[in-house]
Amino acid sequence: MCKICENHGAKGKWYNNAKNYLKETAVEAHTYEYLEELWGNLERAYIRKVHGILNMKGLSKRANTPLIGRFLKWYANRGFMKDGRKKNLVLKAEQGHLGQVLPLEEAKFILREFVEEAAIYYCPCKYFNRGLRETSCLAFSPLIEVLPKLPRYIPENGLEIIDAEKAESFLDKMAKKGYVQSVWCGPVPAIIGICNCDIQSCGALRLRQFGVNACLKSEYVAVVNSDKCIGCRICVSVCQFGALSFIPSVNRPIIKPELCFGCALCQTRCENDAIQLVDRNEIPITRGQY
Amino acid sequence: MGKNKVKIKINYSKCTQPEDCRICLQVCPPAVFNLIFTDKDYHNPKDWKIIAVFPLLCLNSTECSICVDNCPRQAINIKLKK
Repeated sequence: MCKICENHGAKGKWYNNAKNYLKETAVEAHTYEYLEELWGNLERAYIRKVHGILNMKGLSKRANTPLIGRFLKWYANRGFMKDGRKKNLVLKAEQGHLGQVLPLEEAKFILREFVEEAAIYYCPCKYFNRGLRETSCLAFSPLIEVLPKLPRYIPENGLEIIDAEKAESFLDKMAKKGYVQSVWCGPVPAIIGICNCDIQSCGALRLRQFGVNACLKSEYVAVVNSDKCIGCRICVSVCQFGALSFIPSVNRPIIKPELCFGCALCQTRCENDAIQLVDRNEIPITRGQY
Repeated sequence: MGKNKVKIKINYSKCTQPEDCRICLQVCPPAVFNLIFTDKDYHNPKDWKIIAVFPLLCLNSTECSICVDNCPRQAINIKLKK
């Protein structure tokens, strides 16, 4: 169990706790003001200076310097974990905007059980990192109410609100394209949506290359069952995190558990059910590594 | 990650319409460039500009020069530090 699961999960996973989807939690965590301020300035997220000194651009340069780098990373990582209900967030550092990668099945489970309505909108990360206008993110109720104030995230045909079944088929389509699913909160306990992105275009996932954990790994690790595997290499071509590699002499892939994010892309693509998800804490190398 | 020493320069007198062009953003595999607002007037798209946010991710150590080749105004310059 990760840190937010311990604090907000009610003895389970934090995104499977129905309380985090309620409107009351969103009001308590100041989600509406938070989203207006942060999402209005999301394009400047990397260059806004915090306390007049630090920004993400500078942090990436200094991340490997011995003492200063360690302090900066510690400060950034601690900020992402902060609770929005205590009202001491530094918005310029995007404090409280934390996400977690999750398997496709669990993302569908969220839509089935906890969410009544969702809306598809333009992904802001893909616009300022890639220059692409692509409708690839799902917004839940607190974000849907804020989006009309931010017209550049609304698609050409207007913001259409869809039910859970349509949203599930939309996630299927995105997973087929090869995107990783992740669930996001406004300030920490309130959940605002599900994103579909890849590691280089996502504004938060790419920061993991510098040791900044804005997006946590999922609760699982993928494991190959070499009896069922036939060596078709599809899973190797799909993985974005470089965790899978193919060994020609045995004609089987191997997974490095310390690199695996547990996104289950390889599992959904495998035609022979040869890849299974195992709890992250059952493997000694990855225990507690999020 | 820290050993990759690359200097990326963008000539802003040549890069005049970043909002309409954005080719370097779409072409670069590790997405080194970033479209941002200037601090003065960030609601006006004419004042937006392109910067190299994460030059550490640049693949120029393997002699990738896809952004230099594709830029229609020849505004990008890459140098490898020794």
